[in-house]
Amino acid sequence: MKKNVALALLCLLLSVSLIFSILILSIDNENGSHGDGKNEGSAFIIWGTLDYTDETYMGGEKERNASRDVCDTIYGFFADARAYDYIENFWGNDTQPDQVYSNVSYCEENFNFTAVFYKGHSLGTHCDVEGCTFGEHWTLYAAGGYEEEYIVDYLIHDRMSSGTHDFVFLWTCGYGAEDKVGEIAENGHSVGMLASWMDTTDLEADGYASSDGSNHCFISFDVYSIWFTNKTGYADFDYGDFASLFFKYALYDGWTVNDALDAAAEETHWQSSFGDCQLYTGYLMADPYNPGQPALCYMRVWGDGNLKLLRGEEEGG
Amino acid sequence: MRLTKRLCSILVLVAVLALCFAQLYGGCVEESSDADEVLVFLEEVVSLDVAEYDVTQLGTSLTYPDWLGGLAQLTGKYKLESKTSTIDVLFKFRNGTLSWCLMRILEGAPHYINAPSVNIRDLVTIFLQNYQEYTEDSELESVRNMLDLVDVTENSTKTVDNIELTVSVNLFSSSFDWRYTLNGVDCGGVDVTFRNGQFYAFGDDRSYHPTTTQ
Repeated sequence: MKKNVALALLCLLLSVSLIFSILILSIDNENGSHGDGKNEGSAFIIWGTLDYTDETYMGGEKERNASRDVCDTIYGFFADARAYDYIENFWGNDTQPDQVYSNVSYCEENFNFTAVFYKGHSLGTHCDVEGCTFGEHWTLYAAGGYEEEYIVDYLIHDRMSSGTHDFVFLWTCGYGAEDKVGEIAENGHSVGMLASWMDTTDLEADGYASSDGSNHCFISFDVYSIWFTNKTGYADFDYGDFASLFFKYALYDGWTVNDALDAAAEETHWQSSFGDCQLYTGYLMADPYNPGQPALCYMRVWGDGNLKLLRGEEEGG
Repeated sequence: MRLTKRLCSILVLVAVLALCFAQLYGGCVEESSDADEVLVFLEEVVSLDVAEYDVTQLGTSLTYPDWLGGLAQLTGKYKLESKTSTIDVLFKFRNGTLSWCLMRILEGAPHYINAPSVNIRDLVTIFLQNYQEYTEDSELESVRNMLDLVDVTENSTKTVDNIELTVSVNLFSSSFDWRYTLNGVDCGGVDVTFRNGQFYAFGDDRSYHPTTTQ
């Protein structure tokens, strides 16, 4: 009998230790690693063209395949993070202008925070909106590219209702430049990708060096974007690795856009920060308008580099 | 009697599982104490007065990336907060060694044990002296001596024996990158960046340097 009581007592003690270990583990998870910041009302959408026809100026098939693979990887990071309510990878055939516009409406109406990544090309166009004084408008290639209908700046802005597209990363030429920020007229007609996606033109030009706290961050390129397939020069990394690592780190708990840029630059370039890496300091790309005379290009971070993609309670919507 | 025995067996089984959980948790604690080494680095090398801050550890992850050939990479972030200063610290440990640390000053002036020099050459020299003491690595002596051979206020490159020093100065920061080479092949090195007269970032890839295949 005494033996049984002792045994029962021992088991009771062990059970208490089990409860303690479970408690400790749950406390650790509350404080801890990435992937635990589930929140309401966030969306992440990937768009991308299939058109990489020309090897020199459009990237060719290798670039197209790298774009597909990197977008798949980025999608996987968001899916694994389980922190977003709506995640779609529309890279390829699903990148159709109407689908882009309807998704903008859907996200504006249903989510407090929307992040967008686009990979492709840029082109100028004109609009037929009555009274438009902007002159040239700007577009993104849809799935079919040059031969088909484009995704047009002001048609994106037409779908804005709540202004909750807070993070937009366009891996395409030109739209990070100061002269491409754009404008929004009093009647809501817009020009420029930054103005149209972010519903504002009032963002700090260097959100990496001096974050403006606006809760809006727009990343794109000044002059030509760099190919995913271009090597960084360190280990075997290319710029596709930079893009995917950026999103990987941006989804760590408590990490900001700037943190992710730094960590991705460090890993892929062996530069101690994004500020030291050639994406920030300038890199050379072949210029179709001046053959033999490469153009100096930059990745530009507009607005709030301290924005977090993993939304915690303090960030709200 | 029979019921008590069964109950005991189940509880013993549960207890064994609990011990397994405890083992797993032990692994996490080990990672966390590795990460704490960053705070030692900040105190001993950067001269940051860590005791003045409330320290919070944020997203931290242990991975084994392909490019490191099976070596561990511990990546993480600390937030350091005092009444007058807020600092974010990012870090990566590779192969068990602190290989990257970045200190982003978000608010106020940092609390230092020794106030940083206003002279950039002194800043780099003191950083390297401290880092040499911290790592007990006498090789860093020759790295430090190379500073005397360059103008630290403009872009330049200087090679002595198997070490190449590159100084990069731009509007954002001043960077110093020492690379070791063997028969023209990059074998890793040390770099440090200062911004607005304060430590910004540091890297040391000598313990795991990967091969560049391009």
